Amino acid sequence: MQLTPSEISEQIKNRIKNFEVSTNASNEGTVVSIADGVATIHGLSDVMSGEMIEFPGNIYGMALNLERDSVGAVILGSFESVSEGDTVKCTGRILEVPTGEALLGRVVDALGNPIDGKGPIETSTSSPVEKIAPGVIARQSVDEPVQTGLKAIDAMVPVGRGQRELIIGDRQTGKTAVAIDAIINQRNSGIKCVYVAIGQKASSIASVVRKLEEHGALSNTIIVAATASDSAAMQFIAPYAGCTMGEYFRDKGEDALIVYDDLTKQAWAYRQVSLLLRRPPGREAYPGDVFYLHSRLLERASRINADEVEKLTDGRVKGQTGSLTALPIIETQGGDVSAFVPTNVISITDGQIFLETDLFNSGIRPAINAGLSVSRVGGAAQTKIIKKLGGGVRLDLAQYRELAAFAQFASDLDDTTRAQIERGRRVTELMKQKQYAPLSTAEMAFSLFAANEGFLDDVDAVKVVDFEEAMHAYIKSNASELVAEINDTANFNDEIAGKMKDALTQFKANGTW
Amino acid sequence: MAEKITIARPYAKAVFDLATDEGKLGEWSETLQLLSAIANDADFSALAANPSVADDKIVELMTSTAGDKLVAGGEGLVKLLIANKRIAVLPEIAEMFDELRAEAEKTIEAEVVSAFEVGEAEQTKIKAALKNRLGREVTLTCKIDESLLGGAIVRAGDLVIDGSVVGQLNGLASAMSR
Repeated sequence: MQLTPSEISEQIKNRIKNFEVSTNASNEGTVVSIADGVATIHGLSDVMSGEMIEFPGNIYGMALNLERDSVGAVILGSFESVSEGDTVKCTGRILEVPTGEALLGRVVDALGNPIDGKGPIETSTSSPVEKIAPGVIARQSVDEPVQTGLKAIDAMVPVGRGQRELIIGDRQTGKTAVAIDAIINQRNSGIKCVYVAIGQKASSIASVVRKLEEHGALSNTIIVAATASDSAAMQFIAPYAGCTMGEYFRDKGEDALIVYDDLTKQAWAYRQVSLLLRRPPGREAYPGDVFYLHSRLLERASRINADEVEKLTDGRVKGQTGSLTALPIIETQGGDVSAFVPTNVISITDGQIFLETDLFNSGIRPAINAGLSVSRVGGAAQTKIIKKLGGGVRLDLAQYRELAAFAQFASDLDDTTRAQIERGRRVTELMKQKQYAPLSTAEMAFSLFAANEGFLDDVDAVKVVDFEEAMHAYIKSNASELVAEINDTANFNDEIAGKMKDALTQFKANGTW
Repeated sequence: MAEKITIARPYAKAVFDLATDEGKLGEWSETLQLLSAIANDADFSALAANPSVADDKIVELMTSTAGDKLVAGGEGLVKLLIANKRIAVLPEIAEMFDELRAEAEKTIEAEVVSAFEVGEAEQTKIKAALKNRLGREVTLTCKIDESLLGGAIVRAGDLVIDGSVVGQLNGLASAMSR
């Protein structure tokens, strides 16, 4: 419904009337030099480290270098209109961003301003961007799963609620695809998602937004975008802003998932800012605290216990734990995981999913290297059924890798070796999955059960993918009760195993693929 | 890259300590103002920068221009600065000296910029309020600036209290545009 012209002017009149006229005392300084988004300021004697300072024209900056005679600040936003001699004011606030449910479904920049053209965001709370991670006593160990919907991950490197799992690989290996599939699978799980895009092309972010909307996952996702054309300061702040927005849900006793895509570009942006602030460069020209840059960000992704949630919500939420799961993404150059930033982040996270170009090019997508990928939370973050059925997959693939060299001599080998190789080939085929097609627990369980019980052994290796697709369609129509039971309870016992076996035997007898 | 203030600091501190010992803060302040005025002069700075002119000639030039107003020890300062090639930071030394002096004597200079004339009574009130807030004796200077439309801005060091109408209008404008 359109507002009539008089209503609009009524609104404006009200806003003017309610505007609080106040005289405030502020600390001021003068810009002495401004170059490349970094301003040197004289004065500002009361400025705090990390404080938001205001430049003329509603432009904000962050005071990072507090020196004896000057203050070095990075400007958050476009700095073309700031000139030497401008007056700068302290705001008395540490950098903060709006938080709340109103942000879900929206695309915002690193400061929380909407950039999707859908109108202003009404939030009642805002929170500082830099916060201390929960202490040891406040935490609880991870034992609930985040279902990513990807067989390879949920079976072999499961992710739990509150865990940090690194997605690492070269360019164009499907890192963002894995993260987006994980987000899409949360559309009905009650986990709120935050996708932080750092230094990416605006067109890539636009296509991610479209895909999420297509699959109905946008309404419970917040997208924080600091594109490649945003200043380095915005790219450096964006992950912290996204983390603050995710922590809002964690501190309320809910679960949230945050994807940082990618942290390599944040390290580059931070390096740029540090070098312009004249901080001494270290290894690979990164500043000395590049480890701390990532460690303080990733430590905030955790699971907190019910007592802590009760304390943080002033007693409103009782008996619920909150969690923030992080999926940081790191891009390596030439597969070198022993470079500076990758090794830093590997040592911080609770495991990594290692994607390889060779696997990707040979058609294995997701291109997960099962040997190098690990999840340090492991079985504690798996549902009972996947845990029981997934254990064999890793072993099969490991044995297959050992014997892979002999695969060419298939006819000259003894039966056991040949059987292992054939099984490994089929499991590898089974682990392939289409993009934007996350699987439910039941579908995954059936696939793994089929592999373990040998239902695939007489299927042609190249037809395994078709077999799986047809099998999923079959069980959805012919075994829907069993499917529902597995999806709800994720239980596994002899009775369920028997039912699954029956269903699969029937499918193989009647079905076509 | 050291800033001028950073270079000036040791000299200012040394002069201040000397002046405090001798109890001649006022005289030193005047001397420094005079010397920085001379140092700022275009002809003088050109001469000082000229490498072919001997150091003692420049010292002589400066001291003779200053004449009797130079306090005892002033010549020594000039000689030192010229020997270290730091004569150009005299203005910063003078500024810093005044700051140190104001800190020591607990005084501060405040400026009130208003749209209309500020009466005596009001000035006393402002002085008292500022003294309360800053804990120092306040010397007030008043300026008129009609572009403020009303109200006043009080500046004391880095502290700025903006009570002007144009300041409030700006605040309203930015609040409306959000």
